[in-house]
Amino acid sequence: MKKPIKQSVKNYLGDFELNNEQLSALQLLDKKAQSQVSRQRYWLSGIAASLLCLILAAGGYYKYQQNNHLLIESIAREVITNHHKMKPLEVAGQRINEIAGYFDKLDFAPAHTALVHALQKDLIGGRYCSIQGETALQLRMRDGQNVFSTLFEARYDDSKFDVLPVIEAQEAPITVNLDGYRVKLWVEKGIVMALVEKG
Amino acid sequence: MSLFAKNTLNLLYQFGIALTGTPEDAEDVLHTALERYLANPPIDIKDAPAYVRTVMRHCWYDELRKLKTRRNYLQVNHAEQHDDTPIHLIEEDLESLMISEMEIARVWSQLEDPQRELLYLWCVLDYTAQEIANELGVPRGTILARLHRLKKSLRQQAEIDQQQGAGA
Repeated sequence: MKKPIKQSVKNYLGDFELNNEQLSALQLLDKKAQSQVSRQRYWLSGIAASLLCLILAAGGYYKYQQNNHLLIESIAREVITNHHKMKPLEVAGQRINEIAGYFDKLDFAPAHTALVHALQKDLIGGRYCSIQGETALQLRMRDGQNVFSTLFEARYDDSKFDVLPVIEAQEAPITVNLDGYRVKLWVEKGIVMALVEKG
Repeated sequence: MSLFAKNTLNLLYQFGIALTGTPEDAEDVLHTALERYLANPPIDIKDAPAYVRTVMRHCWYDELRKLKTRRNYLQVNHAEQHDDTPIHLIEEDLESLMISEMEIARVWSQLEDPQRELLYLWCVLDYTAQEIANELGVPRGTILARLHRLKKSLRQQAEIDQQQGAGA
């Protein structure tokens, strides 16, 4: 039966349809592509999260290092100031054992350290002081050229001094050069130690 | 509607048949075009089926070019350039043609690729000459001329069929 050409063509082509198998094959292309996109998104989001963590960690580490640097400098400045003031000694003696009894307000016993040889021969006495609010002692030494150096010892508080190297952990002392002085900082025998010498 | 909905895929398949002339080639071209589309999906696309039809068209003519059998397509383009027969560029001209499905089925394989493609866009998708021109990237006048020649060709085919029927 004759019909307008549009209708006839529509009917003729309308008879051609994809069978279920063909349809499934084509729709599978889409599913595969979607899962590939999902996988890509998964990996990309993983990479983005990792990068973010890295940036935050780097930022945190930088901040931590910055804070550590400020704390170390603060301790160094404090002991230099104490050394420079040359306040009168409260107790005189050439051996730590001789003067240790004077420092009975401390909750630790003044200790020897192998890192300060002058302590054995140049000690002239000591006095109380404080480092970062902790009660401390200072042991003053004077060498043959009449040059003074001071060893400070304070109770170790890990909330304040955990940035300092521990000798027993094979860590080397931190050395800071400030205002013409050389300051060495470390922890030994559970005591914070700071040595100030002419730089 | 999703590009991968049954109805949309069937319409694209029918376009493939119009484009290539055979269901087998139609399926191949559609498959290839969808793969290309999915491998590099365009951003901000307004009409995904139209985009896929364009990809199918390119796939098909690439295939023909590879096989060096663009003869049909080239002949039609050549005819457009050199057919000096005066034509009435009226879109409704072809609409008045009455033809049966059986006649369409008989002449279908004798139509050139671009003619079948034109019939699909015009009859199945109900595109205007301007819309077809936009999709194919040719002037509207060219589309009207093709429609006119298509009508002439279909009439001739129908007459031949009638004579053969009467002869038999």
